[in-house]
Amino acid sequence: MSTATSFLGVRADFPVLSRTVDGVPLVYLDSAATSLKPRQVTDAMVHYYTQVSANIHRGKHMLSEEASDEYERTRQRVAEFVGARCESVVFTPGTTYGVNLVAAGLGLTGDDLVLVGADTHHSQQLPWRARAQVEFIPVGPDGAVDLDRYAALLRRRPAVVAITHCSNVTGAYVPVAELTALAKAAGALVVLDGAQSVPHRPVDVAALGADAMVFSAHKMLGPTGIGVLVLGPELVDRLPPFAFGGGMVDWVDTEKVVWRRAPHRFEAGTPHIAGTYGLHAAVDYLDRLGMAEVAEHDRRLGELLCAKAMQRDYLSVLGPLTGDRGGILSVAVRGCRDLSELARILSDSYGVMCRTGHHCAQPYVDAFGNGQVLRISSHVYTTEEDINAAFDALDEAFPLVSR
Amino acid sequence: MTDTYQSSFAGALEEIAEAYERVPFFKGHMDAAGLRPGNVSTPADFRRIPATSKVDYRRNFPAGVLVRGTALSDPFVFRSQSSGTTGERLLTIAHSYTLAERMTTTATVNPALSSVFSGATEQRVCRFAAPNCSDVECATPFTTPESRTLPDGTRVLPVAHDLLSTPDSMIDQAVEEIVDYRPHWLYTDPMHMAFLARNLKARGIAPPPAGGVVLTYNLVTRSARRQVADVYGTDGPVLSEVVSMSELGWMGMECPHGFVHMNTDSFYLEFLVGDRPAEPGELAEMYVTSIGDEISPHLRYRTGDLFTLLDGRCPCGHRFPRVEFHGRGTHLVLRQGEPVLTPHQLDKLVGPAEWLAAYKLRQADEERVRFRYIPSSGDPAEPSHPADLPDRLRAALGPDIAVDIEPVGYIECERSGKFLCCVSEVPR
Repeated sequence: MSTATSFLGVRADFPVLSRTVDGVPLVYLDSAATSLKPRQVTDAMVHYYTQVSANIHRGKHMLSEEASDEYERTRQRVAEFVGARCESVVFTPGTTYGVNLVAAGLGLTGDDLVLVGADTHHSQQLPWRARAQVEFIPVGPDGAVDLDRYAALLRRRPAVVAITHCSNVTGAYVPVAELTALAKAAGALVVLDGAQSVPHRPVDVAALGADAMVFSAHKMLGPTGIGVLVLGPELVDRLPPFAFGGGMVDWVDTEKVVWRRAPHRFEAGTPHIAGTYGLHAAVDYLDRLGMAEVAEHDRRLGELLCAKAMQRDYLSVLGPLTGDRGGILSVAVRGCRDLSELARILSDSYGVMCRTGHHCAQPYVDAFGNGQVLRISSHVYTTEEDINAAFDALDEAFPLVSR
Repeated sequence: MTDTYQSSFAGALEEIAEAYERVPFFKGHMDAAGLRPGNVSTPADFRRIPATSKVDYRRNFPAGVLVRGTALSDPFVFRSQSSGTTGERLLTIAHSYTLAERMTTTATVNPALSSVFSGATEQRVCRFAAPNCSDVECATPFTTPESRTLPDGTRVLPVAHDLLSTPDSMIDQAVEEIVDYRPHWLYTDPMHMAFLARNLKARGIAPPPAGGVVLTYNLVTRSARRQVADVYGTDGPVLSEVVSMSELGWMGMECPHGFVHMNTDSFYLEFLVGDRPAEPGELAEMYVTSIGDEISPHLRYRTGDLFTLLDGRCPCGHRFPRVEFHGRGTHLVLRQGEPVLTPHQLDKLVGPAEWLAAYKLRQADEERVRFRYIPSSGDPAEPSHPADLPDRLRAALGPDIAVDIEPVGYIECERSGKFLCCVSEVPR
């Protein structure tokens, strides 16, 4: 068995992988959009809905306490997982919401400058573009940040630098500690998008030096609808609430209100309680595999994806061919102007689920990918056989769809 | 040691006779086992009474577990809500006089501390422990000293649920209140007290005066004790470990020679391995039967706490038996389903550890443990652990368990608010 199948034993935990498409085994290679969920995660959520189902906090009955305990235990578990303090871990509906929460709370005006990576996801672009001047940090077609241009931009004293740890298009990892240190030296706050890195690598937010980090459970084997915002000491007490309602106040009378301490003042209303059960199970699952091993698996699959693409002259890789990259590959396909047709064929005729388009990084894909690319992305359940199946399918379909 | 048990066994027989007649739950409990008090005359007979656990006292509270005629509103009834280390809720009541008697009897183990108690006619006490351990809200900044004062006069100090996240303002508040309240003694979780000591030291503040510091609620680690002792110096208050349960009050205390003695006047204690009495040195669970409890007796109550009995006579001369507390059964590190390391054994292995501020070993599964510690400098970039620590941990755990050692800047508390140094999540 190839080295890329080191987690072969986990596949039985993912029921979707037992499906077939008209008799063809399903191959799931769209994990950068969302990962599959192991039974442990869905079981935890079913347990909540069937055995607990109560709302958290303030209830005196046993079910409420049980739900509250698990909700807060998940916070502890996530804090430990990313090297954060419990009070700095805010549950959000997802990465997008987390960036919006931070962007809205900084009191930015049109005079403030925010630097955004050129390859960054819309969720890390648009909240800043809506509130401040945005300059893009140049990123080449190989996914590499232009450090000289970055240093020059920092001399303009940006208020915020919005960094994406791992590109959801290219799979390239940026030297985040270096970028962060430079940004901090320039007096900027750093907001890190960890949506594609936290699921695949050990990430220590304190060591990276970011003032805020966001990620989503659904890309790390957890449920949709829940994410995490980790706030550093610079922001945890400074940011005002983003949404208002129950659960986020210590005191309300007709004259005044007093917000609760972080993280509670950022969690108005009934949260996604079942989601925290699932997130806890997902973190446990990854931890059991070992994040060092998960990272190694991701690197190996990234190398394999690149190697396979480079063996085919009809594919052009957008992103790094070597270096620090994960198991995400985006390619342009020679002679294919509409990749959606190809993606549909891969899905329906070969059972291969992958994704096409600009992947919510339209400026970057427009600049270097002709407006759309085909993306293949992996996770712990992905095997070398999956990747072979995808490329075999591409080889067969390509002559029929190219012009 | 056997003599000690025999001396309390007569009290245990009286307790079951009383409980059978006057407490509805126990009559049903013994009837279901086909037992009557008259059938029980030896310790072996006694062990045929099915053990009780938290769930019995919770499910049957109040009507089933209170002596007939008792009302919650009776004078001198002390109520306690506990979720403790286990997270299992329990509402219990006890007579204030009974609790005081247990405390006084237990304190005979440590004459110096006993004299602190007896010299404090007003009994001004400050408590610094996990918020879940108190029946008042003490974890928000909107509490007043008055709102945190318990009916018995104990002043509960403010602290966050997540100990190491307690903001400076709450630490300042706690220190100011101790100075202002001038407690005769402090009733503390050792991890909380060590945290306070570190903060006092970092701010260059002299520790608030007190006659004694009781360390309870949690395992007293050598590193926590060192930090508390350091900040107070040689002329500081009497430090003593106390074994206590919110349901039953004080049960054991550390003598001047550093040994914990269990109060076998107020309780009949069984230390069992499975169903048989433990030999000295064997890891055993403690079962408690109250003696002379006129409101809510406990019979063969499974504590989940593990001890080893120490053989021989203590140099202090006290007649109560000596034990070592090893932690809760649910916190043992397991290998192939068998315990390989108790929190107490881990603590002995780590020692006073001047190189760290706090530590936690967590076992997520049977293949791996993670030992995190906060270096004494507070800076995780400056690893400070001894070079042989990995080998010593591996030697203790065996070859099948991988050990990750990691300096960190912060370690979270358990959901209960307790800072535990050793936790295992392996199902058992």
